[in-house]
Amino acid sequence: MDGSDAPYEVLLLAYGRGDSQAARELTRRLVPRMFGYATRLLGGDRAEAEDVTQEAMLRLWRAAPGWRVGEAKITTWLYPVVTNLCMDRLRRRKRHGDWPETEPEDGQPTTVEAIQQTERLTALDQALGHLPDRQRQAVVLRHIEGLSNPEIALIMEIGVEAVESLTARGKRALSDLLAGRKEELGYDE
Amino acid sequence: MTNKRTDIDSLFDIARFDATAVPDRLLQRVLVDAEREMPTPASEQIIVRAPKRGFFGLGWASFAGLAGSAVVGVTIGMSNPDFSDNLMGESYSISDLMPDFGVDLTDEVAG
Repeated sequence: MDGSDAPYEVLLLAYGRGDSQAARELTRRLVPRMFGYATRLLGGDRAEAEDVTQEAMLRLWRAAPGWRVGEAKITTWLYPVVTNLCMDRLRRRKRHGDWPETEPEDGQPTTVEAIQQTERLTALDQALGHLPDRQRQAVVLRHIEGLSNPEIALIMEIGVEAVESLTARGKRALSDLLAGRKEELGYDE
Repeated sequence: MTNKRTDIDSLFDIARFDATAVPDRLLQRVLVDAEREMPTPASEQIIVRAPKRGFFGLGWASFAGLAGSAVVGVTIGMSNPDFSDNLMGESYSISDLMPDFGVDLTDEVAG
């Protein structure tokens, strides 16, 4: 199956006609993507990301009966839903002055390489957490989710140039944040 | 400076290919929601359709004396299925309305 949204839409329409297999397939394909995206937006908070992902998918299930073919891509519709749910949580955190310290979960792989991989990912999540919300969103969508600038522009409801500006500034900021941790993360100077 | 950007790109690569292992409990929760929210397949619905001109060739006025829910049922039955979905908010079964709908209608019209 290629990366186009046509299969997602076909599956959603099938779900809307009562097809359980379509629900399972959509879950298998969309949940990891949205969960990963939510986790990064929430600075590595997987517990919150689970709740966000479940809520976003619930909204998709409810939208299925009224879904109009060709009106929007499933992902273009779903990313903003996840984003808004994450932003709500982030605003609540800021009001309470609460930002979780992300730590690797217990039960992670024990090989040296795997441990280093986990530490690097944790460091990235922590650094992402220090970016302004819109920069973080743009950087994650561009450099981790792999979306194109026009797609990101649609999702964020801004112009393509604004996306390019956000991703460039965000990436620079991440470089600066992580500059002091090169040795710790196993990168050569 | 070039090294910094390369390192960041490396981190992005790791993140991109990271399964961000999805907990099984999340998959289960999503599937339970999907099952609960899944629309009822059309083949499992029982939809009563009355002729557009009404029973026995009579028009809309003949239904004026029916109870409100029966009128609604006839209206739904005579309309496009989508209308019934919109009206009820979900697909319906005739048993949800009046089990003896057909008998009542016949009696009312004959009277």
